[in-house]
Amino acid sequence: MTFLVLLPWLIIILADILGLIFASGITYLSLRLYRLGERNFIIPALSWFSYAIALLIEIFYLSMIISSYALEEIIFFEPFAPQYQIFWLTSSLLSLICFFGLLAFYIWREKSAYFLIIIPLIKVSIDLAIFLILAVLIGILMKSETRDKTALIGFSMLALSHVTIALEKVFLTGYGLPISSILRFIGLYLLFRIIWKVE
Amino acid sequence: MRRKYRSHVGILLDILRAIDSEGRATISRIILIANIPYERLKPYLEKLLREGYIREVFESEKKLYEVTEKGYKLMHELQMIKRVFDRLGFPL
Repeated sequence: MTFLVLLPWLIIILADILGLIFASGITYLSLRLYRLGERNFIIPALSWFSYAIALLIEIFYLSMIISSYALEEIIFFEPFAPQYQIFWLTSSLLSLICFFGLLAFYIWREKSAYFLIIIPLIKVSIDLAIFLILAVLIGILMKSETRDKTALIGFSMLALSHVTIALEKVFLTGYGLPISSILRFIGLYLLFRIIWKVE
Repeated sequence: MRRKYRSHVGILLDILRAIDSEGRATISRIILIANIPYERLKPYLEKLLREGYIREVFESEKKLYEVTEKGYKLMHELQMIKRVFDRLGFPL
């Protein structure tokens, strides 16, 4: 049973070790290019280095938690406990720096693609942010005493409509827009009914 | 049509490959094979000579260039790095 609890975390540690080797290797190769005269390769070098540090923090932290749990020094295995949030926060921030740096480097090299990348990226991010905000709102509505099924389904449909359109912008399958439009129609229709049926 | 971006390292690699493909190459062959104008090629050749990656040899009063042992090591290293960065979407 303990093993099953620990298994996902062990898989994460293994994945992080592979990622650490990859990120360190790419950092070295980027620095090699920098020394050979490719001055702009300092950006991917620093980006991958920050990712390597992020993964290293995760490996150390998770290994410590798992070993403490295995040695019964801590009773509950809770890697997301509030006192450990600083590790996740640091690791996430370093990962963010890495991918932001890589994106900046890519955009800098493909200057003409600037508007093809940044604007859709902002649009996708906004749609995903709306989805998350609506998810929180739905969570609050579910806990409220006067929870209304129509409003809950309405907001859920609206949230799904936003996430569908965000996915469509990334994968361009052609199915996203009709699905999103139907979900939006159902969602807004249900919300409209709340006003329409009010006495 | 937009011209394909060729980086500093990409040009170095093309020059080394051009010389290697001929064994010993004249400057005009390097220009032709590496597809780089003389004015642009000159500083690269000087750099490669200065750092010992290629050397000058003379055959019947013709100046030729050949890749040194150090140059072969660099060429293989750059080919490997190029393959990695091409796959990551940052062509050299």
